[in-house]
Amino acid sequence: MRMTKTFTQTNFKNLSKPESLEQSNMPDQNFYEVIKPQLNKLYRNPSDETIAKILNHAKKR
Amino acid sequence: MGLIKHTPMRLQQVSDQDLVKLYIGGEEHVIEELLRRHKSKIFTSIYLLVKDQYLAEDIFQDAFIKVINTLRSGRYNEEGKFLPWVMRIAHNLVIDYFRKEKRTPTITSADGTDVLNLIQIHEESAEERMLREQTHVDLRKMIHHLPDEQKEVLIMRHYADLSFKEIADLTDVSINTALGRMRYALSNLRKMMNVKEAAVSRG
Repeated sequence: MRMTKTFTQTNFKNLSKPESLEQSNMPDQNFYEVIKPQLNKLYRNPSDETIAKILNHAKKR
Repeated sequence: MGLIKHTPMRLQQVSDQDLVKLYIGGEEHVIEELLRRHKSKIFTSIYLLVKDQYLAEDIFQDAFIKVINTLRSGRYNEEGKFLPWVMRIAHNLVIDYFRKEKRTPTITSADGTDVLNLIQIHEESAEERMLREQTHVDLRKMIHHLPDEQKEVLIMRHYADLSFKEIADLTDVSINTALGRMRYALSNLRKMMNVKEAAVSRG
C-alpha cells in the first residue's frame, strides 16, 4: 500500500491581504471619497491650556 | 544620529523617530513639534470616542504625559511608529475610562463645544446653519450611532490616519476583520444618510 503525503499550509504570512479599501475592491470606496471632506470638518484640536500643561511636564526633568 | 540643534524649519523635516531620539537625548523642546504634527489626529479620535470635549482634553493630556514618562524611562520600543504607539496609549485610556464608568458610550445632546456652536448660530443665516448642522452635528451623531467596533475603525483610519495593519494590531483583530468593520461602518453611514435625505425630502 502506498502512503500519500498530505500537506496543510500553516504559514499564511505570504498570502496577499488587502491593505486598503481600494485593494479590497469595495463599492463603498466611492462613498468614502465623497464624505471625506465632511469627515474632515470634524477635526478639532485640544485647548492651548492642555498643550501648555503637556509642554510644561515635558520640560521637567 | 547626532544630537544636532535644529531650527524650527529644519525640525519640520525631521522624522518622528528622530524627534523621539532628540527628546530622549535631552532636547525637550522637540515634543512641541511632535504635538503639532499629531495633536489634531489624536485629539479628534479621542473626542469622537468619548463625545465630551473636557473628558477628551483630560485623556489627551494623560496620554501625552504617559508618552513623556515612557520616553524618559527608556522603555520606548523604537521598532514601532510614534503615532500608532500614542494612539494605542490613548485608546487604552479611553477603554479604561469606560470600564471605570461601567457604561457604554451614549449620545450626548451637548458638551462644551456644542454650547459654543449654539452661540455662533446667532451670526449665521438659516441656510448656513442648516448646512453646518448637516455636515457637522448630523455626521457626528451618525458616527456615534455606529456600533463601537465599526466606529473605532473608522476613527482610527480616517482621523488617526492609521493603516489597517496598525488598526488590526491595536484592536487585536485580523486585517480582514478591520477592513470588514470599515466597510460596514461606511455602509451604515450611507444608510443613515439615505434615511436622513428621505426624511428631509418628505419635508
